[in-house]
Amino acid sequence: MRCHGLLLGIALSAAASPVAGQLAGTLDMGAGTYRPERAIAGGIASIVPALRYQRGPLELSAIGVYTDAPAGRWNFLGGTAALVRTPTFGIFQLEAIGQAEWTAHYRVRGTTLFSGGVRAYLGPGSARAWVGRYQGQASSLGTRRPLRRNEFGGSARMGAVQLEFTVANTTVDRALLFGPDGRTDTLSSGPEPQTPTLGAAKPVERVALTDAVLSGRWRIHSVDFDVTLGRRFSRTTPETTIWGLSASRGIAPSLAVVAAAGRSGSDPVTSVPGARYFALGLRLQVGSQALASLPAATAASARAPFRIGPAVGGDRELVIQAANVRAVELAADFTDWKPVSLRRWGDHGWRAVLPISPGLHRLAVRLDGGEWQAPPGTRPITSEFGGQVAEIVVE
Amino acid sequence: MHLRRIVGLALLLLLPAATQAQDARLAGRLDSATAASVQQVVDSARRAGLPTEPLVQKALEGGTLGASGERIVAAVAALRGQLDRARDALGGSASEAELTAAAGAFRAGLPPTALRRLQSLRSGRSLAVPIAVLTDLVAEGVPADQATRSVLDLAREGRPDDEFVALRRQVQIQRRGATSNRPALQPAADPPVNR
Repeated sequence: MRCHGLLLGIALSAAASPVAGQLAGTLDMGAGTYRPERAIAGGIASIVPALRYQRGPLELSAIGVYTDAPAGRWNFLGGTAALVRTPTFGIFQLEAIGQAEWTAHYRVRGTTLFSGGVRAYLGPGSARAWVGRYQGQASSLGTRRPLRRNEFGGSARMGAVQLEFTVANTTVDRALLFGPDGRTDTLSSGPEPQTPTLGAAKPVERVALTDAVLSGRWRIHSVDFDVTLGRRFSRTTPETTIWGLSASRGIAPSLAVVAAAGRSGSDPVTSVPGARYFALGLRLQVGSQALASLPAATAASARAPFRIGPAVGGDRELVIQAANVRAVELAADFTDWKPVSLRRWGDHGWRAVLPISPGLHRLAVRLDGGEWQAPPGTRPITSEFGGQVAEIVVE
Repeated sequence: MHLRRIVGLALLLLLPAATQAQDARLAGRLDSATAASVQQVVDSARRAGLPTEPLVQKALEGGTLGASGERIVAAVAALRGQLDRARDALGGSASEAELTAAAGAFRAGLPPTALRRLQSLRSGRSLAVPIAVLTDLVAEGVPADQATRSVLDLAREGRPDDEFVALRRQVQIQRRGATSNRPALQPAADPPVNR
């Protein structure tokens, strides 16, 4: 109950935040080849709209994938997620996630999946680890299947490469169409409706699997690459290797060429089959880059992990959110790179009032006498001296 | 009148000595050999009419971050070269803030022509924030020509500095990924199949 109250409070405070929301989106359109497991291979055309909205600690996202598949069959996948983050407590942060996903198919009943959970992050912004736990329910083939997922992972930036790995263990109770003698049926994936005739007593099979996935993102000569490589380990479902490679390059403002290839694994939760694919297409950046409606940088949230605002007497107030630390120091070009100690400010805040001129400034912070690093919430820049700093524009 | 001439003459005599004196901040924060080498670079920049404060700040940053003397001197010398290129691109009337921002732009791989075009569109207004935003967009991963076009569009419309900063924030959010974790163009799968 207390947890619900906390989440509600965060959501309400996000809604009341003075920060205007930020909307970003893409529209991918492509064509290629598609080779599903145990079905007809052939050419496909895809349309993929995606939107993401962020306001304070609240983030909403939605995606749709429409694919015109071989033999006149079309498939649609829709997904939406809502996410709320707590403020950063030092190097600790919590995230609550709720998501829904559904599919629709030509003359065949689709699937739905609802899940919710929490993730706990540990580490500074540039490299961090997390653990998460989710519960939910999937509906597919006329049955409901409760599922549980535990995961852990980590991400780090190594030079120009952003790396991430996730290990997720999923268990789902699945009703079988036929008896528990090990013999199961394979329904046609053709256009006829699938209405399995289950008996009153449905034998239940518990499926457990572990997906280990490593992904990387980097840029070479104006081309952005995304690579994913994963392996599914399981005693109850076939083990399989999944992979994906995509590359995109901007060819005009808000327009990029995208090429993608890969092998997606079957989903044991919804029984949606896996496939191999190759596609080439265009990515259109949706959402205005017009700036009149965007908030000024000074309208930062009071809970932002790092902010600089006006102070009495023409100086600037600088606040950093860092919980569970005993000392916070800041060094910057406006302090002649002399460490300045910040004073406690509220529950988890640290504050200093300094004369800072408008313009571009370079700075770093140090917690409890540790390494110099970019302040939380800023983009870290590797200094030529080896540490990390940040550059900010003060208005 | 006589007194003014004497004071003026004294200032003229003292000025070179003062400018050649080592910056007290360097002497207090770096070892003597490093401070002397940095001071040589600072002095040569001053003689060339370049701003010296960014060089001193670079050395102090190195000192605080615990870099070796060699590394500090090399970084300061590299920055001096970038400031030189920045002045060539923007002209002798460019402010210290503009030259410092332009030096950062060169470090990010932006060409001088981009800065000159920006200058021609922002006549009479400071270039420091637009250049800093342009540099940051490129560092964020936006292709240089695309970032340049966006910033030039704003400059052409006479937008104030805070709208350049807003562009930077908008792009940061977009670059974090408007799409889901789903791989690009991965097709929607076929219907479920009971195994």
